[in-house]
Amino acid sequence: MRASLLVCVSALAIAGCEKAPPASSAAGDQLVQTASAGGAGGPQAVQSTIDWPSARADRAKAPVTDAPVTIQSADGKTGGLPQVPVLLPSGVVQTQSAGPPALVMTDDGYFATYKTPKYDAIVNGSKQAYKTGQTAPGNKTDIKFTQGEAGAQLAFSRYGADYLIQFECHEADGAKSCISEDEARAFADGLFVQQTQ
Amino acid sequence: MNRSFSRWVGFGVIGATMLALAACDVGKVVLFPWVDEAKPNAAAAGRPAGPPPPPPPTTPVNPLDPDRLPEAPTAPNPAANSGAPITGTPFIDVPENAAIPISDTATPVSADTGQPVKPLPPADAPAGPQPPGSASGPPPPGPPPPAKPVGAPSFYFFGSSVLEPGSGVGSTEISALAPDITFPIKDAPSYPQSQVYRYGGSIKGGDQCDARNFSAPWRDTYCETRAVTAATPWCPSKGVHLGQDIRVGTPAGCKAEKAAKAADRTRYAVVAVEDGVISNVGSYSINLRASAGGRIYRYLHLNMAKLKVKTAQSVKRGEIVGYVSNDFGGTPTTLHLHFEINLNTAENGWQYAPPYASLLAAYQRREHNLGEKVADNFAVASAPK
Repeated sequence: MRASLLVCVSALAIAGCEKAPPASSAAGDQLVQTASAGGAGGPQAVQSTIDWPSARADRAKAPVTDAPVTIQSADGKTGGLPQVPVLLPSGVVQTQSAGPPALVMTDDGYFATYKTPKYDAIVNGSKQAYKTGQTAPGNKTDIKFTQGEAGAQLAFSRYGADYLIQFECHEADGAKSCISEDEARAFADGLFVQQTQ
Repeated sequence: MNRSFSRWVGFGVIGATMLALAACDVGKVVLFPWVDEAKPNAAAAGRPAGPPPPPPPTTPVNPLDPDRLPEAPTAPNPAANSGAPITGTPFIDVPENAAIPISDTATPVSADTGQPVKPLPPADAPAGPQPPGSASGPPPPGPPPPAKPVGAPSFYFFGSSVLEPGSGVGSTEISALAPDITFPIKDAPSYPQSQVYRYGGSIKGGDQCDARNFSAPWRDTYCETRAVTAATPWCPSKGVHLGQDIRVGTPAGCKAEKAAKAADRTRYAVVAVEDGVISNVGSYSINLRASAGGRIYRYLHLNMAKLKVKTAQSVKRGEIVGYVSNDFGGTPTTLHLHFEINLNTAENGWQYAPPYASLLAAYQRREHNLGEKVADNFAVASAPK
């Protein structure tokens, strides 16, 4: 009987100190759900195949750019082979205070930034795209102009790579953009292949 | 002999109990009252916790404005606020137009239950406990505020593509196209909503710091009607916004920022949504090109005089890039962040993508709270005949 008493007392003591679930467990469950909801269903990444022979052929015909460019990679190291043919504009008149245009190589392509009196122009090239399931695929080589908030952009594909020219207006004026579609297309007409693999 | 046996049994009972109790948390209290129990989970568990000792001051605090973030080195931007008056971009200042429909005339109902949702605490009320390091500036003196009930929604939202009444037709795309981004506002409460069709906007008029702007459910603004001819395959009509406007903070913070000099606004920090490189710093925009490729983010209306980044600078996800303001040259606008996602689609190349669903997922992660979706017919029911 005394032995039973010993066992009972010990068992009661242990049962009384059983740990409650941590208070944060419910929040942790929410985190898991959220991460699942946020991470699932994103578009699938795909990489383009680049037509380097065509790009090299066009490069041989391209004029040399007027302005010097600063070449650096995104991690700050200079150099590196471009992942897509580098299209750069010729004849861009930059503002006097602007330094040389920045040409930055990235893992998926490059970008180059130009400062003009009316707008900044950023020329982007990329081989990385995402399948979004759009039902009406267009002709990607067509140059598409879109006017946006305080700017505009042109998008098109060449050599299998996708290019985007963003125009950032220096002055917003309601419905009136600092750059017309004709001006934007003229900028794109001045692009030439400046670097290839 | 019996007395001796009883003594040994007694020692045995006491010893076994002490051993058992010592093996658990309760035992620490019962047996070792001088040992202070760890209290980090007290607030999370809803138990009152004593005030923690004040941390040593690590950054200077303005006693007149303790919420304001301390100054830090900024990147000079010679083109900042280009074309704006010397006092900064003007605010919209038109009287409220009662004839413009707005969805605040009825209590939103839960999309799940169909019942009216409970009002959220006023935006200026003390918030619940924040994760370490997430608060704006040092914690206020005094005991921490009571914990939020676990699971209670901290914000409400309409579904993707549900616009403010009369502001356009919503997007055909409702999924998150950049689902893993970090929310672009570092830690302040945020209210994605129209800056044109709500209080303080050029259409609705009134005061942008109206408390009703800081309690409204989230609203998509990607396809909101605008004067420009912008078009995207994801909006049914032309002349659309292409981005998400995000109101930030509290009514009191809004009033303080409105009264401050444009170049001094550093209350609400804006962060990089993923690792990348700043591809341009414009007059009132910055562009962030994602290291992962195929995505470019555009932030508008930051305090361009107090940016933390410059062109070609690499940034990490969550790194502060600047502060919410209303920089837009001479064009009046409200204090808010305009946020865009440019996505390189395999089907059509680069396009402005709908950001709402991606931002919602990011905010849910930031807040550790799923919020609550409100029914879409709320807007229809409140629209005037």
